[in-house]
Amino acid sequence: MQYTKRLQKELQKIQSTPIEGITVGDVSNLQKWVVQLDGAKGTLYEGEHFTLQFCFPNNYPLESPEVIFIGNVPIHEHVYSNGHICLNVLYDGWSPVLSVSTICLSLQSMLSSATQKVRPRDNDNYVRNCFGKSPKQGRWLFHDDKV
Amino acid sequence: MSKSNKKIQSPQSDSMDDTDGDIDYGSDEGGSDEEGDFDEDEDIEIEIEGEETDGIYDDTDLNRSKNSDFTSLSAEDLINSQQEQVIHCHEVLGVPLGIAGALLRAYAWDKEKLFLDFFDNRDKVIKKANVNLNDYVFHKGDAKKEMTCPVCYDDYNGGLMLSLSCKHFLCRRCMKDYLEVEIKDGPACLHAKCPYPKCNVLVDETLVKDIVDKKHYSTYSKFIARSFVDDNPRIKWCPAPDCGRAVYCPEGITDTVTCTCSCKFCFQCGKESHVPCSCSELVKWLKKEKDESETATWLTANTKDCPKCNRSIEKNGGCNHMTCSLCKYEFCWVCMEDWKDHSSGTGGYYKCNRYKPEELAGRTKETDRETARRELQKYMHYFKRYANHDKSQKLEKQLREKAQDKMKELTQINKYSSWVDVEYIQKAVQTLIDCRGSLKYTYVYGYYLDEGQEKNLFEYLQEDLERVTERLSEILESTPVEQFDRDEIIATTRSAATRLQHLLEGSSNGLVVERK
Repeated sequence: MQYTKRLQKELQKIQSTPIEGITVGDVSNLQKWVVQLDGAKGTLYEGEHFTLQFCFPNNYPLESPEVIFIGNVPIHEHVYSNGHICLNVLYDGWSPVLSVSTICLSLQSMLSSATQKVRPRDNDNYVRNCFGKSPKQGRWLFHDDKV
Repeated sequence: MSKSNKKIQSPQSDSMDDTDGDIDYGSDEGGSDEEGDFDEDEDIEIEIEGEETDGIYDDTDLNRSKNSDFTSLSAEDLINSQQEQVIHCHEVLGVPLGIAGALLRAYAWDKEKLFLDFFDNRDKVIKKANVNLNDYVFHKGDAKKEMTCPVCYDDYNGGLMLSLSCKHFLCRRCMKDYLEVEIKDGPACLHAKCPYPKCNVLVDETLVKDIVDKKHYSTYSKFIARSFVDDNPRIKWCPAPDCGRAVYCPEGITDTVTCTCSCKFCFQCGKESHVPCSCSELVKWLKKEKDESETATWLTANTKDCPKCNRSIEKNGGCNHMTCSLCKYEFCWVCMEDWKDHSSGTGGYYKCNRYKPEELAGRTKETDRETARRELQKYMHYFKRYANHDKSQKLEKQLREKAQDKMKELTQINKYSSWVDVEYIQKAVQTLIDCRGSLKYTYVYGYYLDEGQEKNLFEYLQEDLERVTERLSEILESTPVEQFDRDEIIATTRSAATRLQHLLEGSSNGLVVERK
């Protein structure tokens, strides 16, 4: 892996200067992280805990990581019931300057800005068609570019 | 099934002699083989009208409509003319080369509009293209400080860090990797920006050249070359497989253009030339063809039974005069009637192009099914003829190669004849292919044409052209080369070309002149 050092440093940084609501879990495999994301106070998700799985490709950070919710998937307009997330920066909007912590912050802000708990309109159709595939294989039409 | 080798008397051979006089088959013009000069100076129109008239533009190309000067460009021409455009822009606007390229791309290579806008409101243009006129080189960081690259998280001396005008620094290796990944991702790399989110500073072309390796830069250059055609409404790729050339048309509003590879295509939709029918009619027609192709009726268009002995017959040549190999019955492939009925004595050889709606007098109430059946009948009438010409055209395209052999053969038989003396064969074959191509689409045009005087006139011209085309096809295919009658072929070619021109002009200008 080309950028092992970057991942190690990212991990160090996130562990030494923790961000509220974001906890790095199992990182025994450096290419596959598990991160816990807590619903922020004063939002619809307050008190809820979600788990994210990051898979880093060999040319990370030039290519974006694959990020999905596992286990308890939040009910949100941009999160499919299979854990796939519709967020620009995870796909076309990715830049090598972004990092695990910026993604977590983006996701937290995405959850916090929700005004109602609903699944995406095309949820059933999407989940049926992408069974077993990586979200990065699909082509995303972003419902909302604000986050 | 074999084709008839019998030479038939042309029913209206007298009409073969009428010519327009404007087609000079004797002259030696290798026009279409020449590469056009693609001069990007502003006086391009003048050049085309002046010098080039003797070359490409004098070619007897009847599929070309008015105001359609065009030039075929090879891959090399494309790169050269693009560079000329960029240099011209660089000189006139006084901007660096890389920025000139970015501005032209932002303006879809419309140089005139760019110049106008630039001199009108320079700042607006610069903002629109996301370029920075005074600051387009890489910046280096402060050599006295240590800096951390935000991509690889390594620490470097500031002097080794690079940024665009936005001062978002990256180490050299990460900047290189970032740009190479962008290039790998496709043509969007031409709009690559600073990697910082929400930073819109465009990466200048010259910086890309500076930093990425040769392999990636060559890909990048290819994207730039492609953008010159892809984003430019006045240049279109030639659709012929493996051609790789593009055709430049300064007006951008023409229909049929001819590439150096002799492929004729529509400049508007990029498909094979389809005059006289319009692009939208063609789209409708092709969709219909696709929808109808599953019906059993459609299959009947591909094979037919001999009207006498019922043996299945597949057409193996372009001519409609068929002779069954089993029973020697001679018939017309289109209407399946006895060939004898197609003589001049029965009112013209070709009487099979007209669709006559069934007499429906007294039957005011039609059921849906009857309407549908009638509609299908009408469609099949046109489709059969369309498909027939299509098939003939394909077979006649193979004739093009054979024509070369025939020409060689002829020069060998007669020691006194030179290549120029036999060139008429090539002309004849090309005219045949052109007529066939247009005839094919006259049935699409005719299908969508409303019943009336206009349609009657159009069908008259169509019939006329069809007759001469069949005649030409018959001579070229069935006559042994040593029996070629040069004068007859030239006259028939000329006659066909004139008729094609009349038909195309008529259909584009309107056939019926309204009297005031």
